[in-house]
Amino acid sequence: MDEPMNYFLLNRLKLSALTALAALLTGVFVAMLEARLHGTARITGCALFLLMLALAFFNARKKLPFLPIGSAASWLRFHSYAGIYSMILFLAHTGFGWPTGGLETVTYLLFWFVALSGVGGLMISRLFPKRLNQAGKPVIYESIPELRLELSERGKKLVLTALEKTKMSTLADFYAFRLERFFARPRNFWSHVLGLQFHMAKIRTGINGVRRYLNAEEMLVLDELERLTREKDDLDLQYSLQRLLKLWLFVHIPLTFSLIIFAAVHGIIAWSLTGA
Amino acid sequence: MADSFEIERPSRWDVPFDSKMNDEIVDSVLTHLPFSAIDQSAFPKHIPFRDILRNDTRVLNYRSGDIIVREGDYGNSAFFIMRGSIRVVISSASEGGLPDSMLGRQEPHQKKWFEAISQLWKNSKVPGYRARVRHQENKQATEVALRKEGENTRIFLQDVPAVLEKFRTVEIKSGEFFGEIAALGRTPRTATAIAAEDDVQLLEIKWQGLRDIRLHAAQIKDHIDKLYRERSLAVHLREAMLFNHLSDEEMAVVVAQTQFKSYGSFDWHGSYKKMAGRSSQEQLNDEPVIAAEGDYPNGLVLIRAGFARLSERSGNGHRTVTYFGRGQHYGFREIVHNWKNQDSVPYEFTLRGVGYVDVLVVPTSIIEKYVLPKLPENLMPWMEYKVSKVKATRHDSDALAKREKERRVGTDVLEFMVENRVMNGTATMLIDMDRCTQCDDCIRACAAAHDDNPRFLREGKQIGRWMVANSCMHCQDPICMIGCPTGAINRNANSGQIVINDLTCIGCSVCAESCPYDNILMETTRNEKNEFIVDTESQRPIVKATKCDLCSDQMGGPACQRACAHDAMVRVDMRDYVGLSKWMSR
Repeated sequence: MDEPMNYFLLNRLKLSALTALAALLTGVFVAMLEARLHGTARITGCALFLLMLALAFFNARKKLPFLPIGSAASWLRFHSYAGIYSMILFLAHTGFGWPTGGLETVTYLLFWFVALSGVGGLMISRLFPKRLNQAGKPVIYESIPELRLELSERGKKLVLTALEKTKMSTLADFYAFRLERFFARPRNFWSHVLGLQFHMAKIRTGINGVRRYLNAEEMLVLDELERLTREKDDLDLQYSLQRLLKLWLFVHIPLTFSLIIFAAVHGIIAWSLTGA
Repeated sequence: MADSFEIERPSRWDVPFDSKMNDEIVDSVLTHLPFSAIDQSAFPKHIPFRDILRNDTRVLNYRSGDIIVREGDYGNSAFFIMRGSIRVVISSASEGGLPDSMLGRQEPHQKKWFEAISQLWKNSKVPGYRARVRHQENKQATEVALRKEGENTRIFLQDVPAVLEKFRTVEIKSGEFFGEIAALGRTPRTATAIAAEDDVQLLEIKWQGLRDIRLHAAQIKDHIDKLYRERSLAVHLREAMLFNHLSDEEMAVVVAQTQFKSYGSFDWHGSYKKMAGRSSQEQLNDEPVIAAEGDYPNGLVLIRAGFARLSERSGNGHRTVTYFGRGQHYGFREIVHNWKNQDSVPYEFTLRGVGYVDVLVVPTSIIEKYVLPKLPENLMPWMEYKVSKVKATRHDSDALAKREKERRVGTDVLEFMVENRVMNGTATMLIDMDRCTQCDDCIRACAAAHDDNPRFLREGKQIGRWMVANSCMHCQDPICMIGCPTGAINRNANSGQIVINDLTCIGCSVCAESCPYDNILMETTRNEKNEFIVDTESQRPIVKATKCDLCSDQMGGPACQRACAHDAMVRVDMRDYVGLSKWMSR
């Protein structure tokens, strides 16, 4: 029996086809107008501005969760594919060229920042949850500082107990010079975002290096410390990915509103200069 | 050796139903028929009849207009009228019976567009904010009020003559039982009972006591069974559809031959909490077997209330195949096969009670004689038992993999759902953690729809990528409703949601303690100035039970689900196995 097609994949195919069709029709329309020596900037500009307003309304939808105005998931689907279409429309509007004036350059750059931050945000929204889920038990973002402090305290307690028992400062020194900073705050943000593991290899090397100076009792403490570093690293992963998942919207949304203002000013100026 | 501290082993009656029950009261109960006629020697020595009365019953006094039980409530006790009479409202709410406002429940109200939008500026920023905390402050609802009767809170009708005049009622006089079906069958009360006089005395019998009395006193058993057969059994059987084609005479024979059995503990939330942490095998071993794999199918088992797990032997353990709830049945395919074919096949799977289950067993001979000969042909083929095929492939790994794929909800997920009783939910909040970005839009949406006070926690038990969040599941078997003294927590008769009337909730926390899933929280109330609302007498804060209400007053339904932009959350009815598996295999 054939496997039924995955719901998300089917949706993606349908909406991609629809977007491609819309892009094709836009291309044909623009080409037809230009062939008849009609200007297309005004019509594509108006369409683009209206589309940007519709895209921005997704944020307003989030503030009205109690109204029956469609699910946020449907809105996001529209937002994503209409967003891709807006890039094609933008290219048609700018004629694939670099703008000339200062206002136009800022608007141009803002558009691409908004568009690319949106694409990036969508990508991490699809990729990061799986990675977070694979990293073990879910952690509430707001509780991360408390959990980190707890790990740091446990580490300190371990080495202090070892110091008291063995009267040797090897472990305490190692902790103070190599691990205290690691436990003190979130670390290796970009390594976690990019899925790299070099930082842990470095920590493991340090841990293995100190083993030769320890007796059996201290070795057990070091094993426990190593376990804590893994826990801290998992927590850093949670922190990094969750932080980026939250932060990208703080770039995307303010830039969107700036873009709308700049685009409106650009539209008014262009309209007044070219006449009604 | 470790030191030990000796105590007497905890026993069933360490905490009696009512500490005021004494020998004198028990003696007075024993003057009433049918208790006076019960042969006390028939009871086992460790469960003497007098002790049942002393520990599993209590005497309650009611005044005219007091509501004794409400239609739709879940009860764990039955009543015997010792003095006075009561009136039972027989016209149901749908037939224009007592409205919710008269029963101390909140009238369903859905916000209109402007009212919904105005939440943007009207929502309070104060945690636990309440505009009103007492029913008496609600000027719109004056038909019902609360009063104290000793330690109990009674809810009573203000204008009894008007109610009796307006609604169809029947009188039940002293010496009669009522409420026994709901108590034994864990089904909602089918009618509202009101004290009809100023001096009504009732004996309330806990289900455990009633079960033992029924077990050892033949006349009580016969009486209750007779009531059940007369009032409810035919209705329950017809729910299974297999009996729809029977004539009234044939149905009467089926009803007469049907046996009813209960398995497990009625108040299973206690045992469920104790069971947490035990291995799957230990949990399974504790579940009572209703029909065993390999046994001769001597009857059709219909689930009347509660849940059952269907499993098959796998290695040294058992693999869960599916779960059954109210209205579903097991054993029919085997019976059909044996009736149609020369060879005889046994039960293919094992059926076990999960928590508490109440079943009806219709003997095979009755099914063969009355049900099968006239069963519409269109029902037959898909029910036919394909034992040879199934048995041949049972241990074939390819076949197992194929079945697993077809099932779409993996075995591990299924086991998790049964072990954690998640299948109890009719609106379980399921989160796909492979898609959840932890943006908390769901929490914000919940807060926006509830005066800025979210009603759930985005955390909970997890199996693989699926999280069952700590949000009210609106259970099929709502244990939280048992024992609410004012009926503030109730099931909406139309939508099936379990809701709490904030104005009649007295903050006793019985519901929160009963909820096996810890999905009800007790919230300290505050006024608009962010001051704690305190009781005048004790100066202690007024608390209210709070939980998800599925946004019953909002226009678009559950805000949390609609706010999830990543298609990561769903409120799912666990009885809809097809819908669930579709969602999980998207």
